[in-house]
Amino acid sequence: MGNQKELKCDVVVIGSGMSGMSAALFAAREGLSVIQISHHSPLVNHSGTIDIMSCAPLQGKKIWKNPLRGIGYLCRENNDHPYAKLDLEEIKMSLGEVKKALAQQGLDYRGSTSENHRVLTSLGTLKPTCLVPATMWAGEKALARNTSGLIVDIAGLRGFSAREIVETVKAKWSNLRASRIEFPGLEAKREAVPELMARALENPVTLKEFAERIKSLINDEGVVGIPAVLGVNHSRRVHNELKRMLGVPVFEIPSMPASVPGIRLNEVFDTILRKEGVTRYGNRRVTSVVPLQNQRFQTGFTNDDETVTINSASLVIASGRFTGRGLIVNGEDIREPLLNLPVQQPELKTEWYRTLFFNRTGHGINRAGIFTDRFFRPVDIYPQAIYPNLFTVGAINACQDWVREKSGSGLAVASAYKAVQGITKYCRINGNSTRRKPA
Amino acid sequence: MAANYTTQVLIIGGGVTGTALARDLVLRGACCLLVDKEDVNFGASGANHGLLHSGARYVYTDPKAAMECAAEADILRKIAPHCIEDCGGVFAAIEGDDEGYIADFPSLCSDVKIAANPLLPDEARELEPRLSEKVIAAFRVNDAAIDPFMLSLNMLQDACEAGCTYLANHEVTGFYCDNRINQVILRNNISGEQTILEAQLIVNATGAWSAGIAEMAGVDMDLIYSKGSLLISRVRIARHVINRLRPPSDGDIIVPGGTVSVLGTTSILAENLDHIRPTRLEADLIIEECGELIPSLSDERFIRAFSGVRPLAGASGDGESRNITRGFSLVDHMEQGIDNFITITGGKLTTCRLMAEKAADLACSKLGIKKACATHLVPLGKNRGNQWTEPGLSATQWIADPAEMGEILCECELVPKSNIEDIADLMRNQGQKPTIKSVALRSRIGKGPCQGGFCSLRVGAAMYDNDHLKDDEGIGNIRDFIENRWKGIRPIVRGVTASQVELQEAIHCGLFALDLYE
Repeated sequence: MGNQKELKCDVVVIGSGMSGMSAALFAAREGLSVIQISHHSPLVNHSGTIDIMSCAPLQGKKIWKNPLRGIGYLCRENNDHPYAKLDLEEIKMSLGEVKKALAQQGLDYRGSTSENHRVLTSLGTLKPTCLVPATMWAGEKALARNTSGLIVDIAGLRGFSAREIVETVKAKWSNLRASRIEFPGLEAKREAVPELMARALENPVTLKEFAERIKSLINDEGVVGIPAVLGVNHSRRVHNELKRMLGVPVFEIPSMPASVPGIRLNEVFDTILRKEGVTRYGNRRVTSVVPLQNQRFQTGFTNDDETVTINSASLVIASGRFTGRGLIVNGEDIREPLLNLPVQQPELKTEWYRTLFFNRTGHGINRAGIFTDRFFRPVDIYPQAIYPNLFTVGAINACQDWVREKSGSGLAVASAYKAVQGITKYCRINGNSTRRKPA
Repeated sequence: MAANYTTQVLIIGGGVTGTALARDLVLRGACCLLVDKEDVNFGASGANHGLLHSGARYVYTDPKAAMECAAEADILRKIAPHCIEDCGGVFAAIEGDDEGYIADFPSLCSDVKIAANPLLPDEARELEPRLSEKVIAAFRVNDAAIDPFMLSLNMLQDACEAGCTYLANHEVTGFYCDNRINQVILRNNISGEQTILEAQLIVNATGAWSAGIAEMAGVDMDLIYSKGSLLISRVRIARHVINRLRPPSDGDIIVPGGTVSVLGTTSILAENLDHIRPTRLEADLIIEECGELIPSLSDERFIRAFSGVRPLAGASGDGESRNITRGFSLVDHMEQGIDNFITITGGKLTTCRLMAEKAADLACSKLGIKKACATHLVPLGKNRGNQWTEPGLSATQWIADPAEMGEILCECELVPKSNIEDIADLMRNQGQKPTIKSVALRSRIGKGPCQGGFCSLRVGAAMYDNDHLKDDEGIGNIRDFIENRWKGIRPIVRGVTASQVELQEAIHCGLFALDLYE
């Protein structure tokens, strides 16, 4: 057995998706000391677009023009929905704060919380979403105006065909043409990896060659759509330079994971949190969580050759649903593995999934999860908070279907915000904050 | 009404029987048109264990079927070795199994000249280390594994090369008949277009759908429908075919299928032929029953479940579908007043060639063709576009020459882009339009743990690039393919599969909003 290490802090956050990142950010900005532990990086699977509330799967075909109105409607219909624990101001404010934090690190988002937009995907479908990466923004306006456009794909980039996009979307955007380039430095037939191309384009020489190859294909088109490869940490600069070199607006088209817009979010959050003084442990799976007698939590994980235990005043579980192991399917039922919290779930296994995968109303299992109070503290049947200082945020919570509602990032950010308010209040009342030393 | 199309023989149904029959008839010089309302092996031909029976399974209930199986298996080993893995089989009984059955088994086998060599329980476990400690008796038999897709696709290709025409997605919706079928109404299920065709002879080889087709000609058929569900494991569980040595019942067989195993089966009388899907209860039952043979099965990860409907000919009213003969039935509907109409149904994958031979004999006697059957002698063709259903083949070829094979589109099964082109070319040459689903049927696309979540997107993009898809067909293609895979995943979701489903839904519905495109 290796060394034992014991750490102490105000908040432990388990998970590094949108909800875990937001909880760590908000808590750090409240002056609390934060340690974040995560096993993998789910943000690399993120599309980059920030959904707040686009659809009402249980209420037919409705697609909301204004996400906040959608939330208002939904919360009147279903007051167990996690959004019903928040007021609209909190939702707006929390997303505004995240948007600002990302922009300070060079990752710009366009749009406001009161309007949904349509983003063209690599399948040629239009995804309704709310906050749109600046690099994708020019697509919507061009689509609405049927601007003459050129979609360019890259030889060797799998799952991305400019022809597919042009053919599929042509009923809505007829004035499009498809073309292909070879990425500078990659011969034909070699696989073109999005992340590697994105990092390569941060080099001005590669970017210039890339721009010239695209430019030679432009006839009189007024806009160019390309795969999402415009840099990782410097997407603002790469996007602006490419636009200048081509002389027309350029927009990125999101495609299947692992995608660059997701990697951007992951890296930018990492930078932000490091600057905020959050201690981050990646690639570590939490092995135990023990509620202590003095109302603190002890969280254990193994870090290389040492066993680390963290003694914290509060705990935030932000480990998602099944992929992040926030919940597990254990034969007959769905369980929460760390503290065996009560999990709201369909009564019968046969109700977990619908006969059709694409059933418009979504699967029963998607609404399973942890039921909480208005500060996102898990509750028992009464329903009283089980621990005054335990919070669950993001997709692990019950009575939402973020995939079908297209509400994942909004729910993650807003529930993290509200939970941190609860933590701050708890720490203030109990006076046991170990306040971070000023940097 | 004027016919748009004429042929000598119309074969309805592109399963193992229909494709074997097309091959048999063209070898005798007949002119054939083969139609299927979906595609090759859509019914029970594509939803079975892929077992080449030694016959030992039937020595107790149906000695005639047992002998047929043994003889036909030997023929297929000779003419179609590329479709067969001659892995051998084991019958094993465990504590509590019917001792009378165990005692009778060797003599019943020798009565019909089927080899069954006794093994001590320890010897059986040496052959198959995962077998239960509770094995009390075991025998070695000549079972083998056969790839029903490679078999049917090559039979079809042989037939097409000799002049047969194949139309996928074409459904027979009615007949104009008096004392013969004068005209056939054929509907293209994709475009909705109708064709009127005339044929000297119509052969109904539609398996479980036979009675429905016969009814269109005003003919009653006595068929019992037995639904069988099976499971596919993520890895291969055993080297041999493993049979439970007891009277046929649920969950009594594990057949290797290359890199995986197929576990089966359940048997439930089915009323409605449409919407046949495996259920969670059936999947759990198979795992429980097969787990008696292989106790470590409970820790195994399963890829998917699937169901087929066995059409069992005759003797309705018994109610117990396992007791009905697994032999086949060939009906000349002249006896019911329709001159030029034959139905061939029932039977087994192992006896498909024999069924085709008997049906072709009858057809030829009606058509005045004298030439004798040659399918037991002529080796089955081996086409490049029809080899990609074999697990692991594309992976080994890709590793040998990645540049030539192209980018990997399916990472679970290592399917490169060139596989798709081989298949699409062959389909185009047969006059068919490739879709994601039809390409998947002919390859390992969607057969791995991700069940098509990722590869469907890559295959779709590649098919647009090569002009196989146009307009917004890709959306319907992907949705259709994913729904088809989903049938098999839904009953087995547990543990890590739930994460896989969640990720797939996040991509297909969350990112691509495919749920909003109906």
